[in-house]
Amino acid sequence: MDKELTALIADDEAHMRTFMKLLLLDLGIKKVYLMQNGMDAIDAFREYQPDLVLLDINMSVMNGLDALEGIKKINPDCKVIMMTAVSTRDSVEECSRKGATYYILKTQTPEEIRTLLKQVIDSIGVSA
Amino acid sequence: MPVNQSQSILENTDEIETQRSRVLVVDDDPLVRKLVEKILQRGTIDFEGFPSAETALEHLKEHTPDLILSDIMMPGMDGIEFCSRLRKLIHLEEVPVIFFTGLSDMDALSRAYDAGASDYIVKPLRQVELLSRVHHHIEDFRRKQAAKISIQLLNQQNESKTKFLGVASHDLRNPLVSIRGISQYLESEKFGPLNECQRELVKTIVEASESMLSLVEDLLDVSMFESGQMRIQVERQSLEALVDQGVTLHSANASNKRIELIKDSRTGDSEGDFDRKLISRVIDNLISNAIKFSPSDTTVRIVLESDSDVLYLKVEDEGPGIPNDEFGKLFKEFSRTSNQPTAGESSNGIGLFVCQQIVQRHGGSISAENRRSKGTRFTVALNRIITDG
Repeated sequence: MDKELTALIADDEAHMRTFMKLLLLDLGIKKVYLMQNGMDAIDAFREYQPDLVLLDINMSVMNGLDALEGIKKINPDCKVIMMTAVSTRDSVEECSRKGATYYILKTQTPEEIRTLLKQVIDSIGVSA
Repeated sequence: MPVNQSQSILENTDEIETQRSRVLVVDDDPLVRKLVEKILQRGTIDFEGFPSAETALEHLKEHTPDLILSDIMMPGMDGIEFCSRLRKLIHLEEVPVIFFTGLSDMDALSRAYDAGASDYIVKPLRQVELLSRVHHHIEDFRRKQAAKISIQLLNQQNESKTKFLGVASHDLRNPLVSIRGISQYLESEKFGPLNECQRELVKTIVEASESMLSLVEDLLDVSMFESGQMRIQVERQSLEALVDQGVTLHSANASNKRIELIKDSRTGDSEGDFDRKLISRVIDNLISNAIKFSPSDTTVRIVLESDSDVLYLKVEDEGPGIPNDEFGKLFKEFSRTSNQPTAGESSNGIGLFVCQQIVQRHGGSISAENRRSKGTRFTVALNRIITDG
């Protein structure tokens, strides 16, 4: 990998932030920024310009879908992965319409989540 | 506790009060009405008399007595027609109806029962007989009503329990996944070395979170089954491939207990329609049970057989077998047999219930038997093609 990749995670649950951070570090991401809501996520995105963003959909202050829109305005090419505990057809469609790259269900096994993250990270590595 | 409240309803049914009951009497003969009124008064029962079925029916549209007494032969609408009409009113479906009858119209009685009569009293009326029948039927009626109410209450409670179970296990699940994942990372020492003592502690966290997670997942399944939300996603696939996965998954556990885990495939074609995730859970559950209840230095054998329509998965162990009088407990929710895991593993008593629900949802069957030599054999039979049902 030519470049040291960085990522941003926004989730209002501390355990998810920690666990996802470990997964990303394990997959070779060098620096992971952690935020608790969509508003802070947009600010942090502007400041750090991470290569990959993981957004929980249900967050207080600003939810993940609004944050997705804000982030896409700053950088339309950014890879954003949405995370949710409960998925509906509507929420999946809304995410993809707003430009999300992938969609993680928190009920998926850690192995499945890891595989998916790896694919996305590999694709960044190639395009970078 | 609401549950105790409903139990007390059931228990109290022995002492049902029949005083102040309301009895509706229909007879075109005013003398009979007068006589019945007197007798009922002595039994402190309220009386409402009507000279015809028509007038009584009109009254009954708005009222629910505790019992109805009626003559059979009356001018205009007779008692049998009266009875079949009132049975069509929802609030009167179960109110006891007793006919007065002369000895001569016994053949009318069978028609009366067809129309929904509860009993009959032969004229001439005698006080003791009338009162005892009236009391008996009212008691019976009230007991049934009470039971009905308590069944409704229990059903509601059961539903809210299921809902609670679903919500609680759903909310517990994600943090547990994180706890397990994070502690596995600690254990792997990818982010730094552990000393001996820390390694021991982390191992405990990993194991405890694993067994909690499997309990929570089973609970989630139970709530899905009970609320009718369990959907299966069927695709054509090889049962043997799923068994291979299961064997791989449990091989470490097995060898830790010096148990030999053997797959014995006696079929060349194990393709069938099923939900990969759910059937994996069944395989997983059966293998982990077999390991859990087997002593060291024994073999757990997973046998695959098939005929043209059905796939058979058998999990055989060399454990103590299931006590003969405990087979009934096996597939029941939250119930365990007296057999104990052989290495202090935990057992939540839901696994086999979940297996049975999954297999039945696939239109298949699951059974258990003790083998003639030693141990237990669980057999799952799955149709290769799921027919709608």
